[in-house]
Amino acid sequence: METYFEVKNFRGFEHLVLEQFKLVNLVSGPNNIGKTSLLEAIFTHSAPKNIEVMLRTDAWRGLPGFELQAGGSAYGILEPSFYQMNLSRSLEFISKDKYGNKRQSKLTASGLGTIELTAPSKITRQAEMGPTGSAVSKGLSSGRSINIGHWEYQEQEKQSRYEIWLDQRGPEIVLRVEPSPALPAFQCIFLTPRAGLNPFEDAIRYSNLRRKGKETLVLDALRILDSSIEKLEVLTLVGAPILHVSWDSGRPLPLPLLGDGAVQLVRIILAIGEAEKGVVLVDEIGYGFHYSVQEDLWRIICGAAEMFNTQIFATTHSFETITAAHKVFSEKGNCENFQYFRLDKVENRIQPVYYDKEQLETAVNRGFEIR
Amino acid sequence: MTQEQPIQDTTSQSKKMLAINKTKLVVGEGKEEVSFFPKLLKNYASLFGERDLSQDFEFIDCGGKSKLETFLVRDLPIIPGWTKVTSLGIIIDADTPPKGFAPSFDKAQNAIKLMNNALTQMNYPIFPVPKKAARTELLDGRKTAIWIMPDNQSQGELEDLCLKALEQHALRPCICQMANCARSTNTVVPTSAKASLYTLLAWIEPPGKRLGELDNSFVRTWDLRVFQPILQSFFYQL
Repeated sequence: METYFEVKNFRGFEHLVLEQFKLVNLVSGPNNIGKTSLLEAIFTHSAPKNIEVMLRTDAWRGLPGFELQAGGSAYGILEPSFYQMNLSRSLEFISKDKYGNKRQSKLTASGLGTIELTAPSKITRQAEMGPTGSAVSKGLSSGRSINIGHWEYQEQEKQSRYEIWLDQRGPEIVLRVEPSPALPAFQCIFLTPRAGLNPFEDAIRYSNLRRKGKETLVLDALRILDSSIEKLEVLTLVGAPILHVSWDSGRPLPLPLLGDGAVQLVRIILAIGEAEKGVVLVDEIGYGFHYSVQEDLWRIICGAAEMFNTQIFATTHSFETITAAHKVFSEKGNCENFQYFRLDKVENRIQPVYYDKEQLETAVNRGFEIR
Repeated sequence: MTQEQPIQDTTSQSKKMLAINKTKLVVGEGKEEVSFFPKLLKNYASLFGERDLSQDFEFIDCGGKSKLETFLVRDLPIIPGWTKVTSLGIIIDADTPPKGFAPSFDKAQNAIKLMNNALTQMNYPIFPVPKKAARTELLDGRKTAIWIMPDNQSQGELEDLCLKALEQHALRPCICQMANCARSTNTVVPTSAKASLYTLLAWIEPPGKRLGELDNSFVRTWDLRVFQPILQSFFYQL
């Protein structure tokens, strides 16, 4: 479990230090303060040698990511990740776990190499990430290449360096990392509305959960929203495995046909089970949930996080979500497992404001605008 | 007043949310004071042709004098928008424990010192500690001032000033008689400006309004010159 995280020159953070992480972490703050960027930073650092993880977060934001326009510079694909899009300083992440073990990753952009494109091009990924962010090398040939930067990675005393290349092969641009990145330090799953749904991935995660004998967690969670649900199972729909929900009468319905709250809840629980001893990042965790079910939602999340020892980082703009989390973690006598903090701007720099149990109690009771 | 907006959220009922949106903040003891001050500033400015400061300040109550330290140390720095504040004023009454001007001033001074310790730990800028009441202290662009009600000297509270401002009101003799009568029973507190003021307000149309709810037209009939010291030496200096 990560307890400390430091970010330098990433997105809107020139330098941000967070040092009170618990098992379940809830972050809020005004728009454009960097809540999603914080999750992206944690996600990128979970697989720091794999540049594709970072580019994937760009693509979720609708940035070019792997898509290049004619006349563009391939070098520019790194820019959105850097503070003020300034490539002259390295971006860096440092984390420590509860035992004090330190991991450090640093991305440095190199020379201003340009691949001139006469037509829009798509960068082909050297590796395709699975649902957990792990990478599988495809093995690519060389051609005209530019080096766009390198990752330096250090875990305890062990250091490694990964060069990032773009190879031009006719109209195709290939992203290549050498040496081929190894498996990430831990499983990290990022749930964000921007990434869209992936029912196939959900079906795989449900199957994995079933193998662990913990699949009833998901059904229990769904019954918070609809107590009459009888069954949850993987069935095929047009040949694709998809989670289906059944009631005591009628045909099973594909899960995506249920409301946003039901789909979001299932995805969260499945991700927690999948990322056992790892991390789940949830952007806008209260999205889709009626205020009256929020406490039950947190009870389920808290129980699942403890069961799988999965660390949660979630963002919210909802006062009800914060209040419900505070209530649940207080009543369980489990406050040591929960940390709420806001990101705030202090003299043009962003920093965390931590709330302990008493402070959160006051904020909730007096209605501080902590969303 | 602090900006309070209904929550745009999935909730059973609207709530008012507290955030700081201005650079000048005054912390008072209770809800009544903090809702009365903007009214006072507005009407004073309108009567005497002074600048209207009512929109320049946020006002927040600390929940009582006994909670001042806890509020400044534990709660104030976590109110969203706190980091915008560059001028901080503290107003407490002299007649609640610890009673008297000097102990009350010491309490406010000490609370600011303790708040600064907390702010330092949070990596926030600190505020100057005033050496005297009704005197603003400046440090790195940040101002602080302390006012001990009613006049940085005598025992009393905000309601003492209000009663003075209503000295010429037609009901004052009646209220005095009522107060004398009440005291003669030996069953009530010997002096209570609060009791007298609210007895008077109970007879004003519409009856029973709290200080913060009074109509501006009524407040403008007061002798607001009574408030000149706190307005000129405290609010206009912050």
